Amino acid sequence: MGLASEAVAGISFAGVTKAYAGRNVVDSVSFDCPPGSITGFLGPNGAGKSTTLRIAAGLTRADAGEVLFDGRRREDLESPGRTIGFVLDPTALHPGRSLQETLKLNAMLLDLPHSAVAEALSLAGLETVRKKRVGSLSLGMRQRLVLGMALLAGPQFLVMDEPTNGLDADGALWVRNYLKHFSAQGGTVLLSSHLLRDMQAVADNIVMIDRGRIVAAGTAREFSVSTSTKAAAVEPDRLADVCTRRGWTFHLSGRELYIDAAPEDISRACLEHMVVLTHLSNVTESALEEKFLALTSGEFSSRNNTLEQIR
Amino acid sequence: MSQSTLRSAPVRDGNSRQVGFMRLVAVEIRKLVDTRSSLAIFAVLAVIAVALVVGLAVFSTGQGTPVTFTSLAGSIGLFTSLAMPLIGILGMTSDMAHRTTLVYYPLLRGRAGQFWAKVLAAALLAVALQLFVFVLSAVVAAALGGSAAGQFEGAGQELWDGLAACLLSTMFGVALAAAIRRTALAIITVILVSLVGNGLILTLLPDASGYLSTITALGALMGGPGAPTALEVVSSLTLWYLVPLGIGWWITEKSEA
Repeated sequence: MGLASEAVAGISFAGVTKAYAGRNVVDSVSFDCPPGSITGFLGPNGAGKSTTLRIAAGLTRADAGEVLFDGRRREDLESPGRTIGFVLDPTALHPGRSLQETLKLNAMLLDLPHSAVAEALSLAGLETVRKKRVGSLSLGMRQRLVLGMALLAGPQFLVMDEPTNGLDADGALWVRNYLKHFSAQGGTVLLSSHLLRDMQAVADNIVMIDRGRIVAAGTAREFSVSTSTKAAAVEPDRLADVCTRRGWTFHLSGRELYIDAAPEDISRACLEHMVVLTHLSNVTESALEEKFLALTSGEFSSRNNTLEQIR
Repeated sequence: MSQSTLRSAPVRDGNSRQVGFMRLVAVEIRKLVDTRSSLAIFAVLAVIAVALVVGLAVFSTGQGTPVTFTSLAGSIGLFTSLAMPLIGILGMTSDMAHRTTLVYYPLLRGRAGQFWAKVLAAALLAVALQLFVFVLSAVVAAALGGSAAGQFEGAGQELWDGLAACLLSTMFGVALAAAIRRTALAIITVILVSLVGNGLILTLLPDASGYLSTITALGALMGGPGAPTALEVVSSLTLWYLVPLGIGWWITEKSEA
């Protein structure tokens, strides 16, 4: 991950800026989404994620900067619809059209064979409801349709805004597995979400945005090594002493220690030094959340509200 | 979307294939007729056209007036002037009304092609409806008049005038809808301007009405001693067609979808 440059393969954001009423909602956003990987774009509500993705899709014009796909602007691609699959707003579909007709229109526009529609319906699990009108579908089913539309042309890039929103557990799992599969085949994925679980499950790289600015970027591993193991001991001081001797970084939170070491290494060391552990768990999953909460405040955050204010 | 069916979408050739303008037009035509509501609108328009032509034929026969192609096709001008702008409005505003621009804009390199494809699609559909009226009028006239001489006298001029009026009416709806971008508001505007606006202009600004009226170009088609001047036609076309169409194009290019 580094600053975007024209020659970078995959998706590159270079100094993308957008202001409304004199206020930057996207402010000099630069990052790369390498090919063959999933880049998680994480931020609280109102952080500028959707605006950034809308700029990538050509729906919103940036005041400055550009988005490049394999070094080319979207509008310079011969057929953007065949090259990039966008999953944006599942409510932006004509309610009077059937699912099949909605896909057929896209296939017709992109000069795809008739079989592409059937394949997309099958891929999205919508064959049995293909003749239903979009207006009669649940949000989850619309989300599946939008996914089917994005995958219709077999694109090289996927740009997705909250793709698991509204999906049931099975659907969400399918999306996560599909994205891994897609990136393993060399595809480039930019996945925007405020759901940390999605990011933890699939992202290879993470870009965090807050109030329009990138506040952190790195590999998913980099986001999860700082507090990898939570441990509690009968004598916390002795546990801290063991950590110091082993050269492990740690911090104390109450009677618990967050240690930068694998649980099995801590367990072995405690056994050697006769330190009795009362708790030992891998807290890799919460590391991202902690970092997210630490780095983002979010314009619409309710974190600072007191219980009295909430009441 | 079962876990067992996990597989890649097939990679297709043709990423270097641009979307041609005529393909865009074909898609826009399909979008105009592929929902139940749009089909219902066209069915209603067709039924009204049939009712008008048959009704006029029956009435004329009852009055002892000869029924000719020209009398039938030319007598439903009001229907044309109201129905055709409706087609233009629906063609231009449907994507905005349902926010489907979010679906289609990212697929294309630019928006201008789709904008003009909508214009052409609406015009082609309107012409198709007008041709339906002509065919219907010809069939009824032939059925009632047999091979009587003069049954189709002046048909060529009527066809030309009818098609030109059809296109003018459609483009009136297209242009206003392009600028207004809201279906209901565009329909109300077209009706108000057509039925009230022109009358007000004639009353308040009688000397300038030729320059400001929406129907100046239609008046030029009819000809006769009161026909408008070329300058009046150009002024009216600019005011009610070119300017709103230009505004619509500009908004389409600049707006956020």
